[in-house]
Amino acid sequence: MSAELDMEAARDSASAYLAAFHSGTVADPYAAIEHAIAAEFLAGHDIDEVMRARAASPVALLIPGHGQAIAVGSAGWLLAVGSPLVLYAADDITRQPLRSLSEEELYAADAGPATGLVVCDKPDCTACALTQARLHSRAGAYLCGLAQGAVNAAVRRVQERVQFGRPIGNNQAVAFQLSALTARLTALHALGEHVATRIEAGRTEAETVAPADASRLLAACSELAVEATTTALHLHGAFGLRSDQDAQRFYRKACAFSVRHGTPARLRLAGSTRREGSR
Amino acid sequence: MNPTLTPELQLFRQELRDLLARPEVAAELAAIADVPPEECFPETVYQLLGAHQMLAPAWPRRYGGRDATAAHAAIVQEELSGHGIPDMPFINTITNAGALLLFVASAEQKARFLPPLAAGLGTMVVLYSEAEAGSDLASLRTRAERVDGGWRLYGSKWYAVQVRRAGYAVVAARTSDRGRAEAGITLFLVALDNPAVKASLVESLYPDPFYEVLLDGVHVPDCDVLGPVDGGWFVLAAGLAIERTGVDYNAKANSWLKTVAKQVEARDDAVLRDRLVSLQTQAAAGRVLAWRLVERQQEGDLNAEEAAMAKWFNSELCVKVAQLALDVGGPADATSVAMLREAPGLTLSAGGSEIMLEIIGSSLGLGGTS
Ligand SMILES: Cc1cc2nc3c(=O)[nH]c(=O)nc-3n(C[C@H](O)[C@H](O)[C@H](O)COP(=O)(O)OP(=O)(O)OC[C@H]3O[C@@H](n4cnc5c(N)ncnc54)[C@H](O)[C@@H]3O)c2cc1C
Repeated sequence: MSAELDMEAARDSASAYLAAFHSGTVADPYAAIEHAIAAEFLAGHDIDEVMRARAASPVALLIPGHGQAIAVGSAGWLLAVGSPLVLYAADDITRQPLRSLSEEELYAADAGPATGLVVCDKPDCTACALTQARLHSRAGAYLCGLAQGAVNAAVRRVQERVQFGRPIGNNQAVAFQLSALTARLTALHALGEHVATRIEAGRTEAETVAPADASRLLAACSELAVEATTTALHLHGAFGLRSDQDAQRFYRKACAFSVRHGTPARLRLAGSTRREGSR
Repeated sequence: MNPTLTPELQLFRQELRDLLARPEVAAELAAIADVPPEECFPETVYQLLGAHQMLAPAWPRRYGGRDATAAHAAIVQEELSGHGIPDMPFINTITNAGALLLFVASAEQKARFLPPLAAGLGTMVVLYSEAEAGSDLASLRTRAERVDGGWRLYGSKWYAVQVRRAGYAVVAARTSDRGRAEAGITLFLVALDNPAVKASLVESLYPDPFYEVLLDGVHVPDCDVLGPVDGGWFVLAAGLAIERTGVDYNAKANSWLKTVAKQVEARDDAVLRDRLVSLQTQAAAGRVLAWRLVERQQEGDLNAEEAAMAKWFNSELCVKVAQLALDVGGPADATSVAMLREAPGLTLSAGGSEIMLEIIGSSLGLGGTS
């Protein structure tokens, strides 16, 4: 890979990270992020014409977790993440809708006897590791975005909501909670952009550092997203619980997607194999 | 790590457990398992307890109680939660509205209102909050106008649960604009089936539906004024303190932990176990604290700071338990979904966390600003 190509890839990756962050701030469907990653998984492998044509229609990721494989959003195709990487036609496998906190469609899928098409069976595939790292970094970006959106909404609310003769945001007890979240969010968001850029920075690094960094990042973003959206919801008062309020929408999504790729503790465990000192 | 109970209280708990072990209890719980929260009033259970004077044991016998103590009432709360019996009607009716009536109602009002509540035949809610008056309750704007033989109430109350089933509500309204905001408030017992009362449902994250209640000139006769005219604030504040022993919030945390513990124990995950044990310890602390307040309540000197601590500690604990449940059960686990929907309401109801912290701060000499 030439240096110029690396630079370009890095820019793309950073902008994909920012796009994911932005979609979180407005609570857009999370499914779109996984659809994009599914396409990248397929593009990263030498697949035949037929598969390429299939990949042009939306493909959802099938990710194991909490005892079942779960997909988000409806799609004609499902790509089971792992080794091997297998593509299934949605109609060939049993799907069961799940009730989650998020308003997005979630379902458990069981491949059963369906064989599917093996996209990759190399256990140490660099393309797979890279795409997995991108997935984690963008899921982290989305969660950070949710946190940011929730904090923005809470800031507006506490500026407007008057109790005891003044906006409740004038109380340091309220303001400082949002200040602290903003500082933590800003730091984590900066790290996220940094990691996203470095994921593409070079093959060697991509293989060793990036996947672990992306897992650690996602763990931190997950925890912050749950905490920030919980606090933002709380500061809205009972008003924020209303179904027509964004505050509860951010909270629902943060809860539902914070454990999508494993609990933070599991992600940190996965991220603990990073070789320290490599840069 | 449990609070020590007298033999008499232990007997009472056992008697209650025996009642709750009856087959009709399990049958009703199974029957209402899939019913939406507002519909799922376990009337058989409530009436069974009522028939044994165990729904409101602290109330005098003549009103359907046992002349027992606040500790007995706390045991009822714990057992309802522990058995997974919906306790919202109990909290609203017995712990909140009923206790208020017991505290301030006239003998005639007590005789009229309390027995059906203690028998599990009727429920009551408290309508204080308004769109513009949440934490700052004294700024409430619902007004009561003097008319022949009573009052007419105009205003809108929102975010109360359990409204649809309730026969009556305790409503706080402004009867005077003179002096401090707190000075002109009066409490009224309002029949909710009056055509001048319109309750509409507000869809929300909270599992028990919220209602907005419009009071469009509803007439309240003088005999249904609760406590002194213009003196409602004192009564209401005392009533809110009664809500805050934290026993109900702690019972919830413990019953949630019991569910989560079963899931964690089935797994070999040291991190989850660590978090579970940590929260179990917190829950034990919250329980001992709440029980200390129950004792104070019995002696008639409930301390506002400690009450605020117990409410804050135990409601925030519920939030943490719900978060553990999420990590344990995942995004589509019915248990964690239910807890995550309920928890955010717990740090707001009966006084938000910051308001509790302000009360604690004041006791440290740190009041005034927050
Ligand atoms: C589950 C549930 C059940 C309820 N049941 C009833 C009921 O039966 N009857 C009834 O009348 N009402 C009921 N309520 C309403 C409840 O009393 C209010 O939610 C509560 O008083 C808080 O008011 P608010 O929601 O308007 O929040 P707000 O007052 O708008 O406060 C918003 C946030 O700011 C914080 N805050 C407010 N003032 C300050 C300050 N000075 N310093 C620092 N922080 C501050 C609060 O803690 C809160 O987190 C219920 C609410 C819930 C959630």
